[in-house]
Amino acid sequence: MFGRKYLGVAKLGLQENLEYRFNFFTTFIFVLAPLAVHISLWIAVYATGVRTIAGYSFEMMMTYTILGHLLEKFTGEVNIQIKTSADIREGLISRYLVKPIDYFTSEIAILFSNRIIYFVTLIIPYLLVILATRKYFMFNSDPILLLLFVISIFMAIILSFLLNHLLGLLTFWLKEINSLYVFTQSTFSFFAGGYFTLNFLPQGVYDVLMYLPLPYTLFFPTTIYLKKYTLSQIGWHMLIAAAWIVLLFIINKIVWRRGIRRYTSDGI
Amino acid sequence: MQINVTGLTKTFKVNKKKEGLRGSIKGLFAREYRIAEAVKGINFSIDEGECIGFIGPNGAGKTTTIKMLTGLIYPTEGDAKILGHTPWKRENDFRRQISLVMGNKFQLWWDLPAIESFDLQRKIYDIERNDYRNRLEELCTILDVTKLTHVPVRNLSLGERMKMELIASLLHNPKILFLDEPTIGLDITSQKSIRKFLKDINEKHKTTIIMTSHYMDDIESVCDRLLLISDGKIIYDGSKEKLANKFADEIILNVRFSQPIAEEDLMKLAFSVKFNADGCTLKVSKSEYLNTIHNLLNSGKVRDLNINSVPLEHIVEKCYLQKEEIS
Repeated sequence: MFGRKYLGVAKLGLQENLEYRFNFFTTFIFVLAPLAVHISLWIAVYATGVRTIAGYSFEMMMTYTILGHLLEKFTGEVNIQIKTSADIREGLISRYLVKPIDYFTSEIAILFSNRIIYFVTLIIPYLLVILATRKYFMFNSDPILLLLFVISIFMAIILSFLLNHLLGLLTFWLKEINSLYVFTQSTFSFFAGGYFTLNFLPQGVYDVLMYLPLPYTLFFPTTIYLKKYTLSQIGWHMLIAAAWIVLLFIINKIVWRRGIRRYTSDGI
Repeated sequence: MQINVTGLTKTFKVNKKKEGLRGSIKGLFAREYRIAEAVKGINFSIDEGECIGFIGPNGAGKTTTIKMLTGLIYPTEGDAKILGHTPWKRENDFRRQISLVMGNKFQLWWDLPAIESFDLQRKIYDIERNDYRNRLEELCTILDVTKLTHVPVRNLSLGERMKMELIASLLHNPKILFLDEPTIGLDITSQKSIRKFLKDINEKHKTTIIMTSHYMDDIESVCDRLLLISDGKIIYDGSKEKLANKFADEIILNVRFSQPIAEEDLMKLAFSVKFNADGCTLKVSKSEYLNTIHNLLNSGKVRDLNINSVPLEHIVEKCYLQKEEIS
């Protein structure tokens, strides 16, 4: 059966991660310290007396910031870029090439099994944050919006993977891409809306950005949650995101096919 | 023929890096490349069930050839047909019938017990549950590691880990097993049991074995046929006995004496004399050695005498120095 081997890979990926990832203490520090800085910044800004910034009330800004941080951790698998690059550079993809199993599909299987670990490790610190800020955190109980929110998160995970995997594949041509990684990490976060909501940007820039994939990895799901879109707007944007998924999938396949011809399988 | 290789060639573009920081910066803009020919048009064919020792000095092209035959890299020129497939097309039907074990690269999941990796192999290769169980039991028993399959791989010794690697790569009963320095860094006991295991597998299941190694003991105990590669070219292809005969124009005599004997007397008999704690080692030419033994025994001072041919290691060492083809 086709799917069985990839389920097997996912299961082992999960088990292996369980050995290390369940470190709540470090997760707390790593997750909460930057979030605390970000939140204090907005508290200071709104303390000056402004009611709304670019249509965002204090409550909306708090919710955007907390959810944005959570989603960036949960969907943004920037590590994939480094992992793919290392797998190629150190010859680890050879393990897959000699077996009747596909590297790309296996990585996706591991990606989703990793989400389970991420979910478990992130949910408690973030629930505590939301509990602490419950006066200002906006709760959304619209079942349709929540469903669309979940779907958009799913799309965000795939988009983020495809983008980072594609960058990792550049290792076939450029031996060392770790410096590129530092650059892409911050650029990605900026255009995904990780630093601040994209509504702060000039309308023209915003309109163009929404045709690109990055906002769909963070800004889009968060904005659905904040009830800032009508259903038809959500539908339209999901179509764009889906188109990017298809396009990036094809580009990944083409780049892989070209790159693998240059592969030297170093280290074996 | 199971494997047929014709004119297989691989060239690499190697970055010529200039010295120092200035060189590195220059290199960013104008890269200079050198074309390195790793494998230069090699030809050979291999039958089912053969055990091939693929040997040569470092950088001779062994691993590059193995990489091409297992489909990891594309050749620059030439062709290879293995079980009717072109390896670098990586068709599943091809990949199901081969296996690759690398001495310095592991495929097992590091933090999990080996049994988990074995079970994944079962799924990847679509092995029937019963076949899997029997095969696993068989392999574990021969290698005597049944008790260790539930220990996380990272807690195993190097030798135990290599045995697990071998099991993982043989669960699907491949027709061809490629091994790249499988005994590197292992202690003598582990080396011996792995050699015996490979020989067993080859005899029992007719598995073709293609092995590179720098340990001649590996080659001598497992392989029947040698492929000697030097500087990207095959310089010898044939049985080890034939190679030994070609080069072994010397015989080594280990002699122990009951009475002291003068070195000058021995020098007359052999072209090399070396004294050691027990007695001495004489090197004599093959055509002369019966005569020498006769003379030694006639002296009446010999207590013990051993006749040995030159070890394969020395022969191979000689071959490495020579780049021409050995016919």
